[in-house]
Amino acid sequence: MEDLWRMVHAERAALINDLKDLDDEQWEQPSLCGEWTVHDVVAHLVDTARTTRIGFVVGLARARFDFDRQNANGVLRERGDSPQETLERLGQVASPPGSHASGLRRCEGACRPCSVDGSGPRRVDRRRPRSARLRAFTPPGCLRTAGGAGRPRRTGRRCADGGELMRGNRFLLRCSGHSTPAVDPAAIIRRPATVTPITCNPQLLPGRC
Amino acid sequence: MSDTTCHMSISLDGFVAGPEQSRDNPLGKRGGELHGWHIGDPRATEADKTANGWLMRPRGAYVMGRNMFGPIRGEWNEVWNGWWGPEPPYHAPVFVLTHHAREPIQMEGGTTFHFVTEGFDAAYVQALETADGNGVDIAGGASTVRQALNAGVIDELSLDIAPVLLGSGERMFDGVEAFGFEPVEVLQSPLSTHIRYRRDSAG
Repeated sequence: MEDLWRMVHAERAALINDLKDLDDEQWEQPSLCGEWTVHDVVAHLVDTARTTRIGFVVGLARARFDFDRQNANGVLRERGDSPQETLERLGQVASPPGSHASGLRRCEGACRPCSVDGSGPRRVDRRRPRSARLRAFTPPGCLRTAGGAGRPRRTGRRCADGGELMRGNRFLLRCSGHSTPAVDPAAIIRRPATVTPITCNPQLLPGRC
Repeated sequence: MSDTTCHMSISLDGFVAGPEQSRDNPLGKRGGELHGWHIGDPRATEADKTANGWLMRPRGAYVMGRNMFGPIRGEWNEVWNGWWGPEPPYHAPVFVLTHHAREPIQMEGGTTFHFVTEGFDAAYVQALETADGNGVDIAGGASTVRQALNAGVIDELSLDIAPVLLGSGERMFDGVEAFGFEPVEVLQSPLSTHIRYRRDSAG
């Protein structure tokens, strides 16, 4: 378990490193988590890392037992006025509290340990409606919103299938299949547009991918 | 850490939840006032963040009361898989005390809820075995913690003492005759005084 947490923190640090060079336009790119932007997803990660188990129960009751609404509330709460502010918040939750050696924070199924499958690019079927493509490309539990460049404007469906990371335009991004805040798993991995099914290594992330 | 831990937020007058707990009000009336330090009160400080680190330590297994698992009582007539959605934030086996047997529920992300009808001691033993040296946490609520205190199994108890008087609700220490812990770390914020206790060396 300690090993898992070391891995989680390493992956969080790697994610922050990947994000710090993004420009404002890149922060507003759509992610593969429904229509969340990269910025929205990072805010979601901050929210999941900060929410305690009791905090989750309270938040769910406040959201009238709607996981999507709860997630949307969390994004709104943690999305800073600028991407840098949100990234700073992610940095604050990225490592274990310093004063307690065993004070490791919650588990996250970070996806950076995923391995790149060199079997070639995956084609996006442009004949399918975008909504259907998003559905297929979004792992379970991801909130889908109609936000676009701004904040999420409405909640939508939870997606049914997932398990494999798909190709994005400029980013490959996996939002975890969770709707609970304690798990904080996602990664944004920059790749060229022409690549890449990425598959998760189940031995690294048992039960997650 | 193989210790058995327990972390509870409590009012000055000893309540860990307010009265009239319900599905819509899981912490009972004014129960939320005990938890502001970790659920988003803007007055939270670095001390609260550090205590949050204690609270979120990953553990090998958990023991939880039926009241903590959900608001429904009696037979499992209603589909209820806990408060925490399809991937609960435990990522480990959780042993739920209940009088009503039920098959285990395997959730996403490593959490499995096991339902134990033979009482606290049986649940704790199963949790210890399953935790495989990674430590058991007594996850609440008041009744389960009380049983753990009386059984003397807790090595480290963390209390977040909120400067509020609830007056009624769920008391944790009723029927616990000896405390048996010594404070080893104290942190303070306007919202809570966090005290980490270890079991008395004499105990």
